[in-house]
Amino acid sequence: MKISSTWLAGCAALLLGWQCVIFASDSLKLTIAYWYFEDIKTQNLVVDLKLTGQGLLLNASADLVELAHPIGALKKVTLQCNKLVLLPAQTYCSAGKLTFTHQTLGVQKVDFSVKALPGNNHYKLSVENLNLVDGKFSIMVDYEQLNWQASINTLQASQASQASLAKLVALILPYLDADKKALFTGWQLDSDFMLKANLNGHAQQLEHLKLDLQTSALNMSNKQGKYVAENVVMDLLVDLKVKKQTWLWHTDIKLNSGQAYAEPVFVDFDDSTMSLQAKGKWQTNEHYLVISDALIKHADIVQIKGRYSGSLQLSETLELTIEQTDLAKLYPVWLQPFALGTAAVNLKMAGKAALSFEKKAGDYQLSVSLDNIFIDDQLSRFGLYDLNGKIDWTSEDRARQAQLDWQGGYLYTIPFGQSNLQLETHLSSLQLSQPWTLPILDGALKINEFNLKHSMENKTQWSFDGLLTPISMESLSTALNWPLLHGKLSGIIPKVSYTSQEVKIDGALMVKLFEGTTIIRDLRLTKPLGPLPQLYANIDLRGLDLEILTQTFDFGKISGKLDGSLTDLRLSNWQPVEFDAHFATPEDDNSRRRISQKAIDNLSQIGGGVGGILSRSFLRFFEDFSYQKLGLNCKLHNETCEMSGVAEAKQGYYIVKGGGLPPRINVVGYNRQVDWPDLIERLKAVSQSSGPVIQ
Amino acid sequence: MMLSKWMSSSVMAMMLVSCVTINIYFPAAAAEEAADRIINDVWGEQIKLEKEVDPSEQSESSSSYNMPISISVLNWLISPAAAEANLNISSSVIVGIQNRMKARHDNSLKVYYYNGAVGLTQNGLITIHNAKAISLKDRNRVNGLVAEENKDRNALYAEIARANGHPEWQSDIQNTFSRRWISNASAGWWYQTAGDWQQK
Repeated sequence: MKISSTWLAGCAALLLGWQCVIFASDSLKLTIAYWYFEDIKTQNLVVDLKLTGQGLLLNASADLVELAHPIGALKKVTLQCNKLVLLPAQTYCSAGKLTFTHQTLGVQKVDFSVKALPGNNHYKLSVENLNLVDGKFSIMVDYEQLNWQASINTLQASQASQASLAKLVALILPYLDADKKALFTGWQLDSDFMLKANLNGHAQQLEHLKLDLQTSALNMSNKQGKYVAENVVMDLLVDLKVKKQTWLWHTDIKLNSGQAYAEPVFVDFDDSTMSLQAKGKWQTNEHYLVISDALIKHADIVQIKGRYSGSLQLSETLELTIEQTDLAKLYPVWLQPFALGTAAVNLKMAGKAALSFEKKAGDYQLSVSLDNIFIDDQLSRFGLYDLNGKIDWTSEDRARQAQLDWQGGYLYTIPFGQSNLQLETHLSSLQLSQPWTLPILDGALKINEFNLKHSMENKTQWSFDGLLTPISMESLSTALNWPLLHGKLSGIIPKVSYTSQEVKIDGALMVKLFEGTTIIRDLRLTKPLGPLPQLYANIDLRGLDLEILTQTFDFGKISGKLDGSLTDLRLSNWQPVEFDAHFATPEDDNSRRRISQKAIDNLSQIGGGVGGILSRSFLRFFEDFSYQKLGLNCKLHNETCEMSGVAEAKQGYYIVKGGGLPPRINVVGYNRQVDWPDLIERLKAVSQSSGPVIQ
Repeated sequence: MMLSKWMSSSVMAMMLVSCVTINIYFPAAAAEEAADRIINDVWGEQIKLEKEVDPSEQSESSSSYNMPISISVLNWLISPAAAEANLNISSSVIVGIQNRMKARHDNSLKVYYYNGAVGLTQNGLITIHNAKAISLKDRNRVNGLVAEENKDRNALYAEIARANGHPEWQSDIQNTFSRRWISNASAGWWYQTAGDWQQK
């Protein structure tokens, strides 16, 4: 009651004043202490109207104007309109000035103009120099018959004022619903920005938005620091058309300077600029996204084309195409970061590759084509040279042919040669479509069946069977940097399998060595390319010719045969750390058994004795001695070799037991616990020494 | 009467049998000493070995005081050397890993422990604690260092267990190390307890 009566009184006073202007004076001044009108409340309102040649001059001020939410209270309000025209068909105010103080908007001094054509239901408002989020904005709104267009622009950034993106977000945040608010929580944002936005719509519906947002130093980071931008110069263009429930959008982002990190990838835009163009649509009612054309260009490093359809959580179709790309450039930025913790983390790569990936209704297909690719592990564990070919990897049942060939490569110190692989893939697995031969040194690994499977649960598994055609021990020992050995390595391999980082070889490898046979069984290799590869095996040696063996190692001549076994052998990082070794003259050995002075001397040195005893005694006149049996056992554990010989002797054990025709000689070992590194040192010393001096 | 006699004797027999298996218990004190030696080597001399051990660790390492009588008797019967096993950590393989870890610490990781970028986990490994302390371009490299260090640490624990003839001790060794890494850490370094980060 109070409100309406006050308002009526105010209106009446205004009308009276109006009449005064016409008849008595060219100015009118109204002062109203309190004025309430619906949601509007003013305090100390002063309205001053003057007649001028162009129309009316309006000056108004109030200590307080309370407007409805969300604007709230405006203090120290002044309004000036130099040219106010009030006509029945149109009302306008040009060159208006408005000042006020607001809790969040601060002190504002804006220029404005308003034009209203009530007959046509047409209204225009433009505001300049609006201080918002540390920047100056101009806003223009044009409303006609429910159709409206608006533009919001930042004024050229001056040193004094630069619009702050963080403050803009803080300003907008209270008006967002909980879902959208959640998108911003946990992010640190600090950036200037320049904005040009044009909006069109009808009634309450936005129909078209064009936006150009530029930053000269975008800094942002999520809470864990997994997504970070530093000083990024960005230009973001968005074009959005809204048709009922469908949003048609087009976006273009250019990143020209600064750095960004999206775990695990780091990109320095100063070195290589990046751009993203994409268009598509968003169904608001079904939350369904279509990206019909996306193109990511990262300088001359990589270019990715993509398409997508599905919800934000689940893709229905996905297509990615990477055009032929130089791996030397791609690997350090885009591949290596994903290889952390794997054997592929330290590669040097060259050559070109192209990739396409397609996923449709649960099935996928990955096509990779390789062109003159060179791969070299920086830790020299493996390499592959001049790799070419094409692989289609698919989860579908329909088989696809694949082919790979290379000129050569190596695994640790063992080189392998030119090879061609014909493959067939289907159901996320890969098989040979033809037997495969991999030349290794002067022999080859021939593989009949090969099977590789990859699944999320079991990761990669593979197995093959085949045979190893003879590799000469000369070439193998040279490759492994061992003393030159003679003989052949060959074997039938019933099954080699790899699962859970372990390579297991069923069956036995046979090595023809020193005229005898060495059989390697139960071969197992865990974490082959890890920091500490473990190799386990059991080895049997039969009928080795000691004469050839001792010549090979320049040990001093021993003739006769030797049998032996190495059980529970474990190599850690390719060094023997555990085994139970037994070597002895076979029971049924009928060969001539002689041992030279030098060999005896060396054997006693290895056993911890003093060298050169023989050469100082009368025995020096004999060049060699006959023996009945020789042998040595060593159980290696914890760096200690527990030694024993062919038989127990008084306080020791026989390493050589004399027999047969004189002169005979016994070599007895007394040390039962021998330090393994010491023993190795002694063996090295023996192989390097020129032998005892015979006087 | 007969039955109770038979029962008690079979219980005693079972105790004896079970004692034999218990006898190869994990040498906690030796493991701590071994861990301290390796940690001291890897982290270098500026890290002071803390002599004071907190009471909970004390009781664990000297568990022989709380052993059931049957085991104590058995320890007396069997030579104590066999029961109180020593841990060998001097194999060339172990020293090899240790050297690699030491080089990684001195050349790269040390600075990241001090600036809080990297912290110690409660299971004897390391992880990123505060990524923001690492410059953007180095983040991937530090992630790599952490991955390599953890591979080496896992390999070290496994190898100590294997080299001492008890692969099943790996988790005990890892637990011992996890306590000792944290105990030996320098002031200012970060470590995890029960999932929460704390600073020394």
